[in-house]
Amino acid sequence: MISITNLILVFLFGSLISYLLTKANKVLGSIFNFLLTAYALYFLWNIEVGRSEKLFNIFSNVQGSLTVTNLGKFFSLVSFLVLAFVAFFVIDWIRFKPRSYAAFNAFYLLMAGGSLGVFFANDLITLYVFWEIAVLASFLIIPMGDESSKKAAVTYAVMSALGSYMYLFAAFSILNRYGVISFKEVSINLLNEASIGYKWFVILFIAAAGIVKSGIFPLHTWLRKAYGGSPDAFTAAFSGQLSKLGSYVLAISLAVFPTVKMFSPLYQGVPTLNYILIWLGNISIILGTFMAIRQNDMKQLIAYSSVANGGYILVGLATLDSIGFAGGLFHVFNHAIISVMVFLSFAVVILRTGTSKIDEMGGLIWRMPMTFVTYLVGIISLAGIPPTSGFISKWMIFNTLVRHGMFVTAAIAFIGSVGSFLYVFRPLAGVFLGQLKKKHYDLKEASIIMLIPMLLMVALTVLLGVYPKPILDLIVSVETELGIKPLEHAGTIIKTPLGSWNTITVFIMFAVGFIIAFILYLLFPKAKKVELTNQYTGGEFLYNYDLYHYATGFYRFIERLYDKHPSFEKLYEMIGVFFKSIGDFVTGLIYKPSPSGYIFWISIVILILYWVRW
Amino acid sequence: MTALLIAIPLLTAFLFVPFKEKAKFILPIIVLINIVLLFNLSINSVEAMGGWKAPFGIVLVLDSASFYTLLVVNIIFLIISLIPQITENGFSILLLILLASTNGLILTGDIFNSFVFLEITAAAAYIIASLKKNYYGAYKYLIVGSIAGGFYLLGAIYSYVGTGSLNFADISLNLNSSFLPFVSLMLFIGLAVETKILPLAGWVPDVYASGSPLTPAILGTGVTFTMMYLLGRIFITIFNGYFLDVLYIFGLLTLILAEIAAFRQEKLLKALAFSSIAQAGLVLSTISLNTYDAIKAGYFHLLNDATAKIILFVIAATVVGNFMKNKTAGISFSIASFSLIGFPIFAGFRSKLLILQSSFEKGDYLLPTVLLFSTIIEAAYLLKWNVRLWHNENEETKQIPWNIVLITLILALLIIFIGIFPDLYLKVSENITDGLMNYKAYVTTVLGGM
Amino acid sequence: MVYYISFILIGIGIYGILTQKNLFKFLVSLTIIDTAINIFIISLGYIEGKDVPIYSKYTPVANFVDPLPQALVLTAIVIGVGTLALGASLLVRVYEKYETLEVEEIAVKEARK
Repeated sequence: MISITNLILVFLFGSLISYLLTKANKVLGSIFNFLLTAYALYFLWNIEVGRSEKLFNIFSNVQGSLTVTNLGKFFSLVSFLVLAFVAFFVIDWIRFKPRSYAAFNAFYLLMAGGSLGVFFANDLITLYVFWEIAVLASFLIIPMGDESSKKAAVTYAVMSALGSYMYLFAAFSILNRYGVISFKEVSINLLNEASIGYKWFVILFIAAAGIVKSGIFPLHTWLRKAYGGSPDAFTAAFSGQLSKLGSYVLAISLAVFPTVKMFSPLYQGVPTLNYILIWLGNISIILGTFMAIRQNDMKQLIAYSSVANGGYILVGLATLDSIGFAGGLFHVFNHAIISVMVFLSFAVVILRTGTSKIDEMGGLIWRMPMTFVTYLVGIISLAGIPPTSGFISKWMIFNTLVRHGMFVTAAIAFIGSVGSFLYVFRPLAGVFLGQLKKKHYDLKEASIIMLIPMLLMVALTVLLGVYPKPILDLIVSVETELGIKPLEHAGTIIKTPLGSWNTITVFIMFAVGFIIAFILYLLFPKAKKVELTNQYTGGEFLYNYDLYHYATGFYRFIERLYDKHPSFEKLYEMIGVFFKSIGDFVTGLIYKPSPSGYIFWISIVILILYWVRW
Repeated sequence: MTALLIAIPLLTAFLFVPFKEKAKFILPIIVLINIVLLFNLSINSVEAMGGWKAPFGIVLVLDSASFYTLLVVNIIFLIISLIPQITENGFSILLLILLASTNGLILTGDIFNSFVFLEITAAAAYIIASLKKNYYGAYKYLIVGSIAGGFYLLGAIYSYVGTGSLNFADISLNLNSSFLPFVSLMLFIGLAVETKILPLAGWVPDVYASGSPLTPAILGTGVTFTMMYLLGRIFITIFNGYFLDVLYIFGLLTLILAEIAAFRQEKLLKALAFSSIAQAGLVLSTISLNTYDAIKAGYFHLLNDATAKIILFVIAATVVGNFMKNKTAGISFSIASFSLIGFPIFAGFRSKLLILQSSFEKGDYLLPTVLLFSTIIEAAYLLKWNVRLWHNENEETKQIPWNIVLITLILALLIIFIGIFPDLYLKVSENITDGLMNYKAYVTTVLGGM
Repeated sequence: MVYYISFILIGIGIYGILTQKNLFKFLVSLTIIDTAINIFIISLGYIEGKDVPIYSKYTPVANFVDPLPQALVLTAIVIGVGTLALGASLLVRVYEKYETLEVEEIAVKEARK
C-alpha cells in the first residue's frame, strides 16, 4: 500500500507519462489513465481512516499534511468512481477527438491528482493548493470543447478565483488569528471564539469556494456555458466529480467547523447562517429547474439541472440533521453517477450526430437503444423516482425539511422535483423519441467500450436503489465522525421519525407494475411506424422537419410565464463591462498622446503630496 | 576591484563602437566576466573612488543587498544576451552601457553619483525604447524621464543642503525632519517614473508595447529590479522607513488601477505592460509595510515577476498566430502566466502567499483584499490571452527560434522549481532584505565604525 | 533671491511642457528646467562676499564659496546636454517618420495606423 502523497505524485507525474503515451497512441494513453484511476479507486476503498502524512512546509512554521477522514474517503470514493468510469469511456471516445487529445488526458490525471489532495488535506492551505491544481487542470480542459467554450473557460476561472480567493483570505485570517490552520484545531478555536461577526465571516468566506464550485446561486452563471461547451466526455467528470469538490468544501465549512454549536439556533435547531445557505440552495433549485426547462441545448439543460441538484445537496447538508445531512451526502453520490450517465449518453449522441441542439435530433431510440436506456435510467434517478437511488436521497431531504417544519423550503424542493420531470423529458422526447430524421438513418449505437461504463452505472443506480447499505454505511461513519447523530438504517430500511422506507418492498412493487405494463404492451396491438413527412396537414405535405419538430417550443406554455426573467448572467456581464469602462477610464487618465499629460501628473502628484504633508 | 564591474562593460562598449556587429558576441562574455568577478569579491567591502574616503569621496558599497541585486541583474543581462536575435545591430553596445550604469546604480553609495547613473541608465533606456521605430514613444519617455531625473537631482542636492553630505550613510546619520519631506518627495518623483508607479507610468504602454522583445524584456526586469533596489535603499536604509506610508498608498492604487487597465487592453503587449506596472505597485506596497517578512516577500515577488516577465514579453513579441506549432514556447508562456496569477506549484504562488502572510502579520487587511481582488482581474485577462493564443484558428504561424524556445523553457522550469523549492530565490531576497534593513551595519561598513 | 529665479524658471519650463503642442518646444522647456535646476544648485553654494574656490597666491585663505555644487553642476550640465542631444536626434527620427512635429498631427497619424 503506497502512501497518499506518493499516489498524488503518481498522478501529477503520471500526467506527463499520459501525455507522451497519448501522443504515441491515443488508446494506449487513455488505458493508462483508466488503469491509474481504477487503481486509485481500489486504493481508496481499502484505505484505513485516520492515516496521516506530512507533506511540505507551507511556511517555515506551518506544515502541510494529509489525513484520511471518513468524509474525505466518502467524497474521494465517489470522485474516483466517476473518474474511472469516464476514463474508461474516453478510451474509445478519444479516437474521435482530432486535436488536443494528449493534453486532454494529461490534464485529466492532473485534475484527478488535485482532487485527491483536496479530499485528504488536513488543513486549509493544503486544501487550497490542491484545489487550485484541480481548478487549473479543469480550466485547461474546457477550451478544448466547441467555440463557446473559450469564453466559458475564462468565466469559469474568474468565478472560481473569486470563490477560492475569498476562501484564501479567510484561511490567512484564521492563520493570523489562531496560529493554526488544521481543520481540527481551527474548529476548536472557532468554538471558543467570542466574536460572532468573525465566525460569520470565516464560515461564509470558506463556504464561498464551495458555493462557486457546486454552482449555487448567485455564483452559478459559469455553469451553463462551461458545461455546455466543454469536451463532451469531460462534462461528465466535470459535473459528476469536480462540482463535488464544492460540496466537500461546503460540508467542511458547515459540519467540520461545527456551525450548529458555534451559533445559536434560529429555527428548529438550524442557525441563521445555515438557514441563509438553505435559502441559497432553494433559490438554486428554483432557478436551475426553471432555466433548465427553457434550454434547447441538451448539455446546457442538464447544466442548469446541476445547479438545481447542487441546491438539493446544499439544502441537505445545511440542515445538519442526521437524516438531512445523510440525504445531502447520498445526493452527492447520486448526482455524481447521474451526471455520468446523462452526460456520457449525450457524449455518444453528440459524437454520432455532431450536434447538441435538441430540435435537430429525434427518434434516436431506434438507432441507439442502449444509450437511450442509460439516459432513461439516469433521468429517472435525477427526477427522484423509485426504485432508483436518486429517490432515496431526495426522500431523505424532503423528510428532514418536513420534519423541521420548513414548509416553504420543502414546497420549493417539491416544485423543483416536479420541474425536473418536465426538463428531463425534453431531451427524452426531442432526442430519443419522436421521428428519426433522414440524415440520422445510418447512425450506429455506441461502441461496446463506451457502453460498458454507461450500463455499469445504470446497474449501480438500480442496485443501490434496492440495496443502499454500502453507501449508507459510509454515510453513517461520516456522521459519527462529525458528531452528527448517525442515521438509523437496517440495510434496506431507512428509519426516520416520520416512518421508514423499505427499498425492497418498493422495488418489488415497481417491478410488478413494470411487468404488468410490459404484459399489456405485448398484448395490445403495436403502433404503426410512419415517417414524419408521410402525412399532410391542411392539405399540404410536410417538408420542413424542423418547423414541426417535437422540441420546438416544447414548454412554451410554461416559459411564457417568465419570459422576461432577471438574468444574473447579464448582471455579471455588466460588471465585466463596468470594469472594462473603468479600464478605459484609467487608460485614458494615464496614457496620453502627448508628454504634457505625463508632466501634468508629475505636477499633480507633487502638489497633492505637498499639500498633504505640510 | 568593485569598480571593474562598472569599468569593464563601459570600456568594452566604447572599444566596440567601431565593430558594432561583433558586440553581439562580446556581450555574454562580458556579463560572464562580471558574474565571475562578482563572486570573487568579498561582501561588505567598500571601495573609495580615487582614494577619497567616505563621506568625502564617492564610494562603491558591496553589502549583501547590493551583491545579490547585482547577481540578479547580471544574470538577467546574461539571459538577454543569450538571445541575440532580439538585439538589433548596435544595441549590444547599449546593453553594455546599460549594464555598466545599472551596476553603478546598485553599487554606489553616493546620492549624486546615483543621479548620474540614473541618467545614464535612462539615456540607454530611451534609445532601447526607440527600437522598432518607436521614436515617438521613446521621445515621450525621454521628456518625462528627464524631468523626473531633474527632480531626483533637486532631491539629491537638497539632501546635501540638509546634511552637508552626499554620502548615503552620512545622510542617514544626519537625518533631520525639516528637510526630509521635500527630499523624499523629490526622490520619490524621480524613482516613481522609473519604477512605474501609476500616475507617472504613462510612458510604459508605449515603450513596452513597441513590438520589440528586447525593450520590455530588459527594461521591465533588469532595470525595474535595479530601481526597486534603489528605492528600497533610499527609503528603507537611508530614510529609515520615512515616507513609506505614501509609497504604500501609491503602490495599492497602482496595483488595482493597472490591473483594471490591463484587463481592458486589446493588444497582448499592452496588457503585459500594464501588468508590469501593476506588479511594480504590488512590490512597492509590500516593501513599504517595512517588516522583515514583508520586504523579503516583496523582493521575492519581484524576482518571480522578473522571471515570468522575460518569458511573457519575449514570447509575446515573437509569436505569430497560435501556439499549436510552437507548443514548447506556448507551454512556457502559460507557465509564466500561471505563475504571475499565482497558481500553486508555480513560483508566483509562493510569493503571493508570503505577501499575504506578512501583511496579515502586520495587521494590514487592505493589501490582501486589494491583492486578491486584483488577482481575479489579472487571472481574467491572462487566462483570456492564454486561451486565445492556444485556441485560435490563425494559419500563418511562424516558428520561434530555437534558442528563444530553449531559454524560455529553462526559465519556465525554473519557475516550477522555485514553486516547489523556493529556497534559492528566498535566499536571494533574504539577503537583499538583510542588507536593506540593517541600517547600522550599512553605516558602519561605509563610514568605518564611526 | 536666486532661488526664486530658479523656481520661476522651473515653473516656466513646466508651463511650457504643459501647454505647448510642438515637440521641439518640449525640448526647449526641458532645457529651461535643466538650467533652472543648475542655477539652483549654484545658488546653494553661493555665499555673499566670498571668492571663487581657487587656491592661489592672491587667495591664500580658504575664504571660498562652496565648491562642491559647482563641481556637481558641471556633471549635471554634461548630462543635460547629453539628454538634449539624444532628444534632438529622436526628434529628427520622429520627423522622418511622421513628417511633422505637431503633437496633434502625430496623434492622428498614430490613430490611423
